[in-house]
Amino acid sequence: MNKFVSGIYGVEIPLVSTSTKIYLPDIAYLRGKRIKHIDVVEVLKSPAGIASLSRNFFDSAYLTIVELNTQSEQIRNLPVSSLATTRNRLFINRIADFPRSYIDVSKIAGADKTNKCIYLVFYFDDSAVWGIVPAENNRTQIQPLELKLTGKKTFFNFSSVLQNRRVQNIILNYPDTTPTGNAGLDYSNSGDKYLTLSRNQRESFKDVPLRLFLQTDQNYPLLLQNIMFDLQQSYITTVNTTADDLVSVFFNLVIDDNLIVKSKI
Amino acid sequence: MFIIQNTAFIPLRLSITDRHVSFYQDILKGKRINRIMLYSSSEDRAVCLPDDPDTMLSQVAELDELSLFLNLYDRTQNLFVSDFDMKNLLVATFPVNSFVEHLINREIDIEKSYIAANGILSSTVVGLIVFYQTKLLKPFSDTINGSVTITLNKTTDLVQDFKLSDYITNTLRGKFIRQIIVSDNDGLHNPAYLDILCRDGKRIDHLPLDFLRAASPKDFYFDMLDIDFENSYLRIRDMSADAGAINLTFIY
Repeated sequence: MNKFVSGIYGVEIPLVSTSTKIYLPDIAYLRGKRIKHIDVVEVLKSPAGIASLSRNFFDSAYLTIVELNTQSEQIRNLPVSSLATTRNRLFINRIADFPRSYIDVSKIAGADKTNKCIYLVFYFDDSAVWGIVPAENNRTQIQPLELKLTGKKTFFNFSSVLQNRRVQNIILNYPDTTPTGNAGLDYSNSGDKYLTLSRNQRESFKDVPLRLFLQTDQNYPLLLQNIMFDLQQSYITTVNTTADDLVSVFFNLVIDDNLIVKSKI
Repeated sequence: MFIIQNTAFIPLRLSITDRHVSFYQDILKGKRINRIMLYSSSEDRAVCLPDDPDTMLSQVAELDELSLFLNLYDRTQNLFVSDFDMKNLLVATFPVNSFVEHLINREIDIEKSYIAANGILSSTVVGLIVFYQTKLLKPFSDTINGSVTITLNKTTDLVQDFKLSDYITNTLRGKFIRQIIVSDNDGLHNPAYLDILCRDGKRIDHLPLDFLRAASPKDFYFDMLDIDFENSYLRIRDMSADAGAINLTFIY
């Protein structure tokens, strides 16, 4: 079962042929954040245009997470294949010391690492962004969100239907034709597209591979902690911009439809 | 995990002029709707309608060219589900069983709600499975008190109806069924429907067996069914003339 999250960050970790132990980058926004889940994703091209390591090598790469407060390697040599999204997500539940945490890629041949990256996605708590989830959380709405891509970076339009709505899940779809009659994005062209969502001027969802929002198969649904996104500060990036790429991306948003009762003091 | 109390099977026949398709059924009026899902054939195994063995359900590949979106109004005329892509609600004949768990859990305006169809329409036929409640769900427990397994031998006939009382002994009389597990000898996964009437009025109207086949975190359970086996059936509706055997395990 997935846990509630209020932030998702995609992190690209470049490899070189001589790499043995790759330390995670120090990302200011992730400092001190409790990491709930980690995904490893095989992407067609990262936001920087680099192909990711093939999933065939995920069993040969090992992640070690150093816990920030204790400085201990509480998660040690975890095969990154166990972070693949075809399974239900491991509950990491750690505040990571990113610059001291690393991936061991010594067992992968140099040629297989050349011009490649490992793309990790971190799911975390962000108290500046999360919303209240009512105790009786049993009413939802589903609303559409469509964005026709126009270039490498396309911002969402204002939506009166979605303004100030508490989002619990974002489901990506691949319709041949969207409800508005536009050509929809095909799965084969989605491997180089990333979603960034903002709240309170913060990009709390950053460079998240679109494919992670496809939630069929054996996965439990994502659980977003009732987040009110600023759509006009949010966007989708794409590396390729062919005619097959600049089509409509269609989501369904699951929105909290429960009454929030404010307590009187 | 999802608990089934009642189901309704609604054949949807879409023609080239159908862009807004109603799924009105009297039996759904005033009922709390738990879930709505789609059923179709897969490329590996074709299935026909339970009440029309000459009509095959469209295959998943055909649905790829056709975009179906669910639109639901509640009693206050609020459009609370708008253009929900129904590929998220699709189960096809084995091995396709991949869907997003989405609960509705409301009384809907069944006359105003509809399915929008975009894209290439020919003579598309899909099954709509509506899960609904007529009473409060009983408290759930996954404790297994016992189980009975029966084997139903399918011949090469495409259409066969098995009356369950011909196979069930008195062991299950008075027992409340919480789960039915399906397995197939020889891995053939013969398409079939469960047509169950319960003594307390609950009704499982032609639930495709494929909903009960694939073990997954999204398993289906039943709301303690007191089955009237004399009036309950397994209905084979296969488009392939393969003989085989289906095992049904009733867990109480």
